[in-house]
Amino acid sequence: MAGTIAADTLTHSTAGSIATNYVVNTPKVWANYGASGTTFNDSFNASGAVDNGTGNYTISYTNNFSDANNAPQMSSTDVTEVGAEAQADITASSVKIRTHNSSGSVVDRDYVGLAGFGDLA
Amino acid sequence: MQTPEFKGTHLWGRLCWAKENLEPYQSDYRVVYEDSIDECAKILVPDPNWMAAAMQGGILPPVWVYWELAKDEAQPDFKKHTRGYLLHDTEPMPAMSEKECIEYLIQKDIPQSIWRTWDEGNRPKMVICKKEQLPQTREWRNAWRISDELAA
Repeated sequence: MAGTIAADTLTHSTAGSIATNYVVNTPKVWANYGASGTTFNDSFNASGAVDNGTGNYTISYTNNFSDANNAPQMSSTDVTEVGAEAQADITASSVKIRTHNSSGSVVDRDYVGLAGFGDLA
Repeated sequence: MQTPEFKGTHLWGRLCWAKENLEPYQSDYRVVYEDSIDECAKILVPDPNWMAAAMQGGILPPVWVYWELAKDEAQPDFKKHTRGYLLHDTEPMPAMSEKECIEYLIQKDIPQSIWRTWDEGNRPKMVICKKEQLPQTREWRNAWRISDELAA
């Protein structure tokens, strides 16, 4: 069956609006960053990336999170570890991402991915 | 395309509109800066969707809003933003040129200690350049510095 639903608002039968519940539990930021080429491939709610050095990148947000208790999920290719090294690397306004190889050394890869969950400021 | 009247609209909603309606703009500009003599030069890369929103106008808040939120985050007892309304309720920025967008982004995403005093001291701490001017190899990435040629 195919069709179209058009509505200005959708209301949940028991609590809150569907639109609100939908937004609350979706990623608030995502980015596909071409790390070795210092180029964003695509993104949402990111303003820029800072290449801090080999395997070390900071991605800043346009709409900040409300606090540092957000949950960034990171990915890359052909690395042993990708992520924040310390809690301090995760803030309300940005996240610092590092990529390591199996020897524990920081390395550049063609792609670094980010999706961040949490409440918006 | 005309930007809808977004005053008072949540910034998230404005960004959703921009993502759906604006073509990403890949700027060739990069900002190279040095904030520690012990570390290599850093490179600020503008986000193409952010660039599109900034050039369109009527979407992004003024940069001083981010400075205010940064002040709050810098407080030792910071737990949670209580002034997020500044992002959503402040009159959005008008359309900007590509260079104005880069200047805005510098003031948003680079530490103030760099851009406020970029040309003080023995040599510039920050330069705006084209992507092609960056070294093409990553081999010596952790030794990159702003060259005298670029700094001039």
